[in-house]
Amino acid sequence: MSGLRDLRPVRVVGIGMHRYQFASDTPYITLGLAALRAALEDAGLGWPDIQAAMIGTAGLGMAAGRVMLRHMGDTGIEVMQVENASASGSSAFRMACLLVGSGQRDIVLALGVDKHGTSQRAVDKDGLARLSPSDHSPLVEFALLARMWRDRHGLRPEDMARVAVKNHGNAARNPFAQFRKPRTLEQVLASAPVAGDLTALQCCPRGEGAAAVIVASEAAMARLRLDRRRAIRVLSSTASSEPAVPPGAFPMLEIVRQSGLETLRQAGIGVEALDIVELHDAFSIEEIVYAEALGLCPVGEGAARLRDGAWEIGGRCAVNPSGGLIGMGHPIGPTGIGQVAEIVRQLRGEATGRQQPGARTALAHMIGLGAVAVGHVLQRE
Amino acid sequence: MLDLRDPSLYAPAPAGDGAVLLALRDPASGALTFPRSPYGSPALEQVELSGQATLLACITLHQPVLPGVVPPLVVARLQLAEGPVVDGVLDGTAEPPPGTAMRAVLVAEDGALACRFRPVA
Repeated sequence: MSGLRDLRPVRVVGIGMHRYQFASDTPYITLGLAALRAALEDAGLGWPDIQAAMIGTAGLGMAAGRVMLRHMGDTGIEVMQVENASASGSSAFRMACLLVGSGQRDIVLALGVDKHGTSQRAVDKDGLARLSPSDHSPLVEFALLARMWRDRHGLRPEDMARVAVKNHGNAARNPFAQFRKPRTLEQVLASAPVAGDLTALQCCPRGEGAAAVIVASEAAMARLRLDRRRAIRVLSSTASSEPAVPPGAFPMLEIVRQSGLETLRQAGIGVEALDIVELHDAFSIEEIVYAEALGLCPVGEGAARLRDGAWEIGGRCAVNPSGGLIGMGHPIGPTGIGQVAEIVRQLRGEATGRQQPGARTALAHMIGLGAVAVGHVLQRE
Repeated sequence: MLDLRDPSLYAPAPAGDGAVLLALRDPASGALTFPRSPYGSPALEQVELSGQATLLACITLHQPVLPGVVPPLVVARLQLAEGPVVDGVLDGTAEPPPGTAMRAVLVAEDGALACRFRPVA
């Protein structure tokens, strides 16, 4: 199976954000265009240079991208809306990479924008009754998984809480984060209980915001004299959905494990090469079990890595230096593109106040309801 | 006798307050599907599962985070005796330990009979 490395080189040349925030009256167009204009400025490009736009959103409704982009001027470009639950933005970024890599376009925008919508889910419309109202609830799924990790691996509530302490701390140093307040272990544990051992500060907020990245081919970079020193190569891009698993296995962990392996394989690197991982920590337990599934440590040792600081900024591999979904926020459509923007900022050495020293290679990994997984490896050349 | 809240999911057991779960079985492989789905192969046959289960894990919902949930509510992942793993609601607010033998029971709730799981006495 061929990967992105077998296609034309793809590089991120521009990033832009609108801070993630709690629900407001701000129109989504204001959010999205702020991120877009920031990305254009960052790249040194103008709107007419963009040849296609992939718009990741889950809650805005039909034609959100076209309605937004007409305010930039009608240039006749391909505009596509991509919905893939939490992985909507990651999937839009993947589409942009494939368009450039395959040679169909030279400069493509991937933009995620969302506001807190109705949260309607297809799984609630399948016409099937269920024994529990918690069926297909991510919150309950991961609260149960946390309990199983407690029983199997001795995971304690304070171990999970350390994820939130780390990520709220990182978010406090990220001007684009929804939460900007460091939290202590005691504060996290004492926040309102939600489900099982998960407390409120261990659950991501819903909100709104926007994130944009621009990817370009080598030909376009040469033609437009874009700054190669700030361009970040996209080494691999993968997408998959839940596989069949043997009895007793956890489907969500298996999809993360398999997609992580494949994303690294297609990039031609091992997990030890990763300086940064941005992953889907909607609930604190997720960071632990996904980091284990991705191979950052053996299964059952995630709590120890949190205690010894291996996943802190400055540690062996910074996990969610942006603050992750727990701290930076999870507005859905923008989330995966926000991960990529954070990684690009880090790999450029421009993440002031939260810079992972010497960062060269990073993984952006996202899962979405369904379940689906999308992974990208990015590298500073 | 109250009506069943979800008659597509369960039915009264032949005796007592127990419930059987309504599933489909592939006659070729024996594979079970719960709940019954109209979207799969028409060759699947209707079967009843015993309602006996082993508790894998359970947690208490402390907040009204889901439609229809009035906390505290204990939800569980259970392995049915016949194999499928399902999510269900426990009867009461206790959290039994993993491995506890459970059974499906019908309890009156809001004017209907709901299926809940209770430790085997």
